[in-house]
Amino acid sequence: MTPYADCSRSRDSSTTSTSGEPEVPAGESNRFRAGFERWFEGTTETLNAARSHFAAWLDDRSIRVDQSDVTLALSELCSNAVEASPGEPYLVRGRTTGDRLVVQVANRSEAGPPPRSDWTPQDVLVARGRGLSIVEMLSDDVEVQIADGFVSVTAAFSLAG
Amino acid sequence: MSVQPSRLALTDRDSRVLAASGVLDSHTADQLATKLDALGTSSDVTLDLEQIEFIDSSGLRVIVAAHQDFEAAGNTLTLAGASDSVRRLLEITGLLDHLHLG
Repeated sequence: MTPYADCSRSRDSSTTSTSGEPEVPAGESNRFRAGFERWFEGTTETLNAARSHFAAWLDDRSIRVDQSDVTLALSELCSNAVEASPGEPYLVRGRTTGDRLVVQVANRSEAGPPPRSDWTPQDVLVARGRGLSIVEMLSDDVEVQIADGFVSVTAAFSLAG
Repeated sequence: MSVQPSRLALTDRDSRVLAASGVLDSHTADQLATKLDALGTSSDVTLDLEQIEFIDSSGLRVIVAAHQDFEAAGNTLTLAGASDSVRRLLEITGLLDHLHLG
């Protein structure tokens, strides 16, 4: 059993690490007060859980957003996290602020994604490398942070009026 | 809430029509790639996506790669039954006009 075998359990918005769980990216903990916060094991087996738990949180909180777009973007971010750091747990967080839903996925890595100018493939028929381009198109804003051994990608979505 | 990993089911309607149902993400995409590889590109193939509940770029990666393989062989991979979510993904990635939709 890995130290993160139970990492998909729900947590409240506390950012204090508990035994066996990875630290929340330093410097982020106070700034990102999450309404949703869960660690998932860094395998593709957890992608469905990440999408489902996040969608359930949106429903529970009656957060009015284009859920299909958010789910697709979240799937891209989680897939990237698993691909970048296979076997390492990744953190999914969500919160609402003003008229926006903010989604963040963080994984332990020293190297971030390619520069934004490379997110959109030059050749439309290229097979790989569309994930961040999709997130960029579905969201209002995408921000990448690399700090303290974590890469965090944050995407913001407009709430429905 | 216990959530199982993504599942994809692939059914041969006939020798050149493949029906996919479930989820096409990075957990399941290789299943589709393996199946399409097994079918080969010697003649046209239809991939029925009507029962696909969710697809992301990992599923799209396999479809685009297969499309390229079929084109290179002078044959066609046709996507049938594309749901709104499939069409939406094709649209935002600019692929709607490049792949063959039946």
